[in-house]
Amino acid sequence: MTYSDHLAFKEDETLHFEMEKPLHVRGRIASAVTHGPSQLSYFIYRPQKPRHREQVILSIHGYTRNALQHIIVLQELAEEKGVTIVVPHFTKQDFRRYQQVYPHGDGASPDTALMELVAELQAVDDLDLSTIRAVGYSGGGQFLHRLNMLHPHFIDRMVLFAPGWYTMPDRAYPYPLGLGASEILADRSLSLEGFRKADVLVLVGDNDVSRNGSLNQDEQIDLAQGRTRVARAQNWTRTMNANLPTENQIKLQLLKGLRHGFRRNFETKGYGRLVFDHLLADLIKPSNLQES
Amino acid sequence: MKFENMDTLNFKAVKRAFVTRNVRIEDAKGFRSDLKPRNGDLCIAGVKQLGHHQKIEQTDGRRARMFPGDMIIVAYSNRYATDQFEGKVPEAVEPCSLVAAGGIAATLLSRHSSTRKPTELEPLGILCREDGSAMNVMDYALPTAAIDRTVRPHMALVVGSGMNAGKTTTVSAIVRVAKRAGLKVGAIKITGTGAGGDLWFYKDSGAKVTIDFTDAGYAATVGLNLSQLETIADTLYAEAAKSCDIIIAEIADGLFQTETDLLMKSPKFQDMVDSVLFASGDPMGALAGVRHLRALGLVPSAVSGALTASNLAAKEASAATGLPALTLSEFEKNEKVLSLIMKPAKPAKTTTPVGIATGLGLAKDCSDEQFTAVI
Repeated sequence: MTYSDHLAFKEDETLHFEMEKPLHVRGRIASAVTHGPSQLSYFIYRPQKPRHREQVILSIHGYTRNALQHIIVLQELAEEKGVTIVVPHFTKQDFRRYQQVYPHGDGASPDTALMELVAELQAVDDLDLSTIRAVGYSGGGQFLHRLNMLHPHFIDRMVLFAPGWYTMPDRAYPYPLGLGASEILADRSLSLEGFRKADVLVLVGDNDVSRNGSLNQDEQIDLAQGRTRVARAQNWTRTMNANLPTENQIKLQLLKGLRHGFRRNFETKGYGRLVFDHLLADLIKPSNLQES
Repeated sequence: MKFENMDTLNFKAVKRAFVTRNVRIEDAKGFRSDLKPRNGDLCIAGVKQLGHHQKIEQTDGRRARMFPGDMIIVAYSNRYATDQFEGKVPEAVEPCSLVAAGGIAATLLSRHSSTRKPTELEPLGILCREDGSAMNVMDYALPTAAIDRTVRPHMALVVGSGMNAGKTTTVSAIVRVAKRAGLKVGAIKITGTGAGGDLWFYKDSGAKVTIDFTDAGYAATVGLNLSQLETIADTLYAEAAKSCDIIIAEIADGLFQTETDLLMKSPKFQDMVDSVLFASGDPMGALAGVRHLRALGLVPSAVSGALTASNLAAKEASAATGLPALTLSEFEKNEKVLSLIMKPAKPAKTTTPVGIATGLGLAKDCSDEQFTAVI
């Protein structure tokens, strides 16, 4: 085809040049939008040398909606572990209260949007989403544990990293504070069933105790869950575990000296590796077994 | 060898131009007038008569006034500016012109009809080291090094329809939005004529790393061959990639300018580019630019630039190209603007349907095997 032929194209004919399959780019960050009604934006990074049948890890951003920073920080781990990273971008305009998993206005609900994204990714031949593994930082951790209450069979392994507050397993409080009925829940039901199935790890820095603008300081939350991320994580984990069988206990790990901040914690302090190791733990054979 | 010792000059009173900012000036021990100037050689000259440029941009960015009789240190280089001067490296140390405020000395070939005569220079000679060897800006270039990272930062390229199309303003807008998103941003200018204006603009916008072709050893890039241009791109990208999450690159002038044309047709350069934005002063230019880029195998993610100052022109450009026309307000308010900008420029797993162009101007024919240019 000649240059002149290209110039002669009508605009609709040149569309074949558009990225029809952006998901096939390896070693580079690609941005895309789901084709379904949610039109959810997301970033994807596929490693140059995939391992683990190219397992996908979902990373859910916090209230600053720093989706691009997530994919940039996690891409080196994606290469190291041979996994694909997908970061949905819940914009303020379309998903104002995504942390609490309900729709903004007439828009799509963030849980529906995420499922739409996962369904589209499952159609990509060489991506493995037979088990759903996800990490949520701060507001992303809020989103994930509530998602697991609304859709108990969706997530298999998750890490909740420093969520600001939680939905307590208590029907006396309306959702999202507890499991009780509320307007925003509409006709959706909640259960703890997902926590009997999924592997859940809560991580929080033992120095993540600042009560700044990024922490919800609602009086009810302070009273029911505590005044800091550390206290709230401890209270939630303890209360949840009291409702869960011994073999499905939620694990809580306090990280020494750590404060709040996605990039600092995942990149500078290196805890991103801890998160990935946990999410992939069932896929990685211990080195002594490999040697024998 | 006609070596004159530097001690005869009051060196502290000499005004050093921006393009010499990486030079270790204490290496200069004298100057010679018997050498044939090369591109990038450092020239010590007296200001004979003021013309278009009344000020010289110094190494710290301050634009100092010049007066007849002042001594300045500039670099010999070519110049290509459609709205100012065209100049070439002189054949000998002889009277020449200051053709760029950043400090380019050249023999004047032509000028824009609305531009005054250039400031006239009387060179004393080429700055030399103790052994009499000529000092050149290339001697102080960043080293070319491989990227020492397992991942490569995204490079968004901004090209345009010509000078003053709004390319630098577009780069600045992307830098600001990326910085707000918590990213460490690098802004690099691959081609052009040495001057601090664009680099200061990038820096003021929040870029962590701001470098240009002068850091790669060239006072200006006009007349360079493809290999030299690719080396500049590689060097600047590698330097910015050491510490940045995303790199915004600008190429000067319009797509039909020779060096821009060479780079845009280079498969090696195209492979470095992750996404492309096209800046234009008007919708017609936007359509022509987008079609040209598509014909080269690159799909721009959006159009921007001076045309977006007018909402009507932005709408026209968007309708004509089928691409979003990003206004400055859009950069500020649209939460998805970075995903939009980062839309890949090339289809995955598809070989680029162009080869290396060797000539001037517009591409004439393009096939998988060969790409020729109108000469």
